[in-house]
Amino acid sequence: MRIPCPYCGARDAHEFAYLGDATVTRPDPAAPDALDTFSAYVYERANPEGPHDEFWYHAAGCRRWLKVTRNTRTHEILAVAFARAEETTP
Amino acid sequence: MADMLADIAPTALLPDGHYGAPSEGVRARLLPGGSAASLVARRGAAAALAARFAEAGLVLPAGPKAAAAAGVTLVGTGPGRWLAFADDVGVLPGRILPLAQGLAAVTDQSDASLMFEVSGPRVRPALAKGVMVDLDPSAFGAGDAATTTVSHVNLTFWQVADTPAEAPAFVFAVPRSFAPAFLRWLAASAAEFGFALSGAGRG
Ligand SMILES: [Zn+2]
Repeated sequence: MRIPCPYCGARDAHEFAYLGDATVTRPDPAAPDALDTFSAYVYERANPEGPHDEFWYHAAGCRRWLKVTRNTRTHEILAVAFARAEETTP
Repeated sequence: MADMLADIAPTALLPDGHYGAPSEGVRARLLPGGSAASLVARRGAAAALAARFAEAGLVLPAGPKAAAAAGVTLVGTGPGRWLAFADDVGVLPGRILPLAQGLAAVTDQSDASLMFEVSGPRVRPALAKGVMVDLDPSAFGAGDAATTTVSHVNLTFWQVADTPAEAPAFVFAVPRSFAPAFLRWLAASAAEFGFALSGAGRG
């Protein structure tokens, strides 16, 4: 599997570290239900079949976090962008 | 090819000499030590930094490229990140610091890497045994750079700007303590084409 890094170009998957699900959002720690929402945020994961948004870190290249849309059935990469919204290519 | 290196300590650089086939398909030269620095732009400051460098006659490339000007080679390693190399020993941070003032963090990297210039008529097929980046001239040309892993060693390399597609020269900036392993990989990979090493003295 190769991931087309927006900075480095297409690179072998083993240059990257996989963090996981990019669809979860950190809950408000001050909310009254924080214990339950944090438990779900940290531990509960769907196991989707098909396109999935996930974070990959280009550890051996540009050292940037990427948000990658990957088809979990075929490993086809459908979209890649820097995880940090304001980051652009230069 | 393992026999060729059997009597050389794996912790030391290979000594100068000829390895493998009698031809000279691949040449590597350890470049004399100069100075180096890393440069990381503050958030949102990359464009202003590039403008300031341009005023000083230096080129901060946008993207993974190497640009040589006024005795300094600047190599893009990530968004807003560069490595700077100069032949002059110890003077680079002094040249870069004033330009980076308020816009970027500069860290002295002199002595962090050993620089190998690798060339020769069979340089691409030799490098293809460990470089996962496509080095075909249609994909990687003069001035292109990559930060990647080669034979388990994380490094930055580029094709020297004024070298043509038919006779390319590449410079590999190899973390110093990994340089013996890198050189053993290069010698083993280039041996079938004949490999000449210089600049490393007795290793
Ligand atoms: Zn990258």
